[in-house]
Amino acid sequence: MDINLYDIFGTSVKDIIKEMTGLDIRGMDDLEQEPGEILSMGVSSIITFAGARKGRLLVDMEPSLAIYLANALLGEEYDNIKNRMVLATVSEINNIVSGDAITKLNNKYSMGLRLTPPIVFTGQDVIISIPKISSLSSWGDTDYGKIRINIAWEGGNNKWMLNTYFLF
Amino acid sequence: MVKRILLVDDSPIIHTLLRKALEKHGYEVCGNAKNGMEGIDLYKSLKPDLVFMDITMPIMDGLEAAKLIKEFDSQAKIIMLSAMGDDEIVEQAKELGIDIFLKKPFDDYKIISAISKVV
Repeated sequence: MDINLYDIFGTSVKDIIKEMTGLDIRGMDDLEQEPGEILSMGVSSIITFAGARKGRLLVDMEPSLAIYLANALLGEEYDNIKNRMVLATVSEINNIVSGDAITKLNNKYSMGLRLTPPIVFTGQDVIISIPKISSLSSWGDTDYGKIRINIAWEGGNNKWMLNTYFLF
Repeated sequence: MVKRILLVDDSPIIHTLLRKALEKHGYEVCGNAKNGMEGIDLYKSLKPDLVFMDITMPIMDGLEAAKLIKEFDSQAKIIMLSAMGDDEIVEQAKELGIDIFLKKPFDDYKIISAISKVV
């Protein structure tokens, strides 16, 4: 396992959220193995990428943090997690974080990775089930709630499948 | 004369942020497209002075849309605004005759400086 394929996402999420909203993320320094099923904290977005290898990034956060990020970015006062612009904010942050990390990986390892448009969903305690995938998560905390990223790569030394489904 | 700008991006967040920045500095957003295909149709009907074009979009990506817009109008002014910005993508954009390549995230200064170099 090449750890560089994972920890670059933690750096990108901290840098991008700081640049876009001014918010500091504490922690997110360690990577932990996930067993396959992930319980959403409230708002989640997934982007897949494919090229020399296939992978995906899950960004998962508490509703209070998603609402804060939308309000900070857009200068509005949203208070409902189901608001289209709150969900779109999480989705676009994932897109920019993934783009930043994948750009660096492409330039360093010539992986030719390209992104797919992100998906986003909300629902507390939704089980994000990723069969046969072993993945790594990194946790962070902010003044407005917790955030987690989860990264999975197919290929290399791991025979992972990237089928993802959700149990509501 | 006010410059008219077409926005092509699948994110309503980017549309909102760009519109705020552009209108604050005296530009007119004449159209909003959610994917490359819509962008081409709106370009042909609106004939904007400038296009802001994302790359990763459903239905048709921004590189393909930029290529087709350039085939329709070789003088089209296009600024790519993308989360992706690796050497290969930037090179592809250059080969298409893209005027400027900007990487997200962005601020007003980055956007307005880029426009002033193109139109």
